[in-house]
Amino acid sequence: MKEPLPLTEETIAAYLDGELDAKQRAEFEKVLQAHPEWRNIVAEQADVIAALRPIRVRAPKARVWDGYWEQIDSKIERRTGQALIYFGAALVLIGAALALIVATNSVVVRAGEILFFLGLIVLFVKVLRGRMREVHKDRYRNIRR
Amino acid sequence: MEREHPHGVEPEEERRLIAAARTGDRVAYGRLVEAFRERCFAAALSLLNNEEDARDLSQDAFIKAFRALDRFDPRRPFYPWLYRILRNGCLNHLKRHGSHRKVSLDALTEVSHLQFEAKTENPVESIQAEQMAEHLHEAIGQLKPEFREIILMKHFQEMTYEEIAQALNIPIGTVMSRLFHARRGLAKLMEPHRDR
Repeated sequence: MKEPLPLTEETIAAYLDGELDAKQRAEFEKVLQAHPEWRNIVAEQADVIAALRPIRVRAPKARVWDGYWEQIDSKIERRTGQALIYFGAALVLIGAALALIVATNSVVVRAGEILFFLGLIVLFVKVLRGRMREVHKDRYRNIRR
Repeated sequence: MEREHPHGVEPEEERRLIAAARTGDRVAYGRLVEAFRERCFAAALSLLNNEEDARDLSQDAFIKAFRALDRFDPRRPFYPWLYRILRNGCLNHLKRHGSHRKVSLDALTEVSHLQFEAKTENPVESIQAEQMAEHLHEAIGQLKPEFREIILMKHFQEMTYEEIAQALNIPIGTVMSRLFHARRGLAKLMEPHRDR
């Protein structure tokens, strides 16, 4: 035999929000009749829903929308440009590093260049590690976008 | 049967606009932004309690969503996905710029920037409803943040259980149970204003 619909927080919410089908509703109401203490809880919840029904969030002032989309549109375009600039700059930097190392013969200059690029790598790794730590500590990292 | 959407874009139109936006059509995306901006802004405002931040972060959410449209499942509704992006952005913002606001003891101020009003046109009903709106505003402000959020999602953003579950990445059972407790909390807070 099928189990009767349990009287739980979940079924009460589903009943009040109209998420039960006709058969489930009838079953729920039957179970509810036998539990006056739950009837009061259901009535209390129904009152809250009834009080919330005629209320809505007031629309924000019109000025909030001034240039709203235009700014989004321009940022979308700008970010594409920024990505291209970063990519291009990375290529230029790598190319310049290789060219400098290959072109120079002085040991001191070469050592300086190597230290300079080593410094860049250290900075890069540091930034990367910082970002990874931030992501690792992020309580909301499991929230998929 | 698909329900009527509170933001004014039919599901079919929503899918069409998303498909167009995925190909880079920014005019189509602009229409989507227009359709969802008010809900998105209200959600951000309820989380941040600052109009300027709410505007910036809701815009950011639209930008991130546009850039991630390839990863969006077009069979699903757009808003819960957008809400999740927005929520992540707002929570990160609060973490960076003083999350103490989120757990402030003066919780009443939490929804102070989000104003409620009565839907009714009838002047007599309107006065009562406006008073009720004020009481509810206070009471919702005193709820725990997770309860406040779910009340706003269900009753003011008119999201379904499934949409809330998707947006918050929680099971539908948790949505129902959280709503139950949120309403119990509201009932207790509204007790002094009953039948007045």
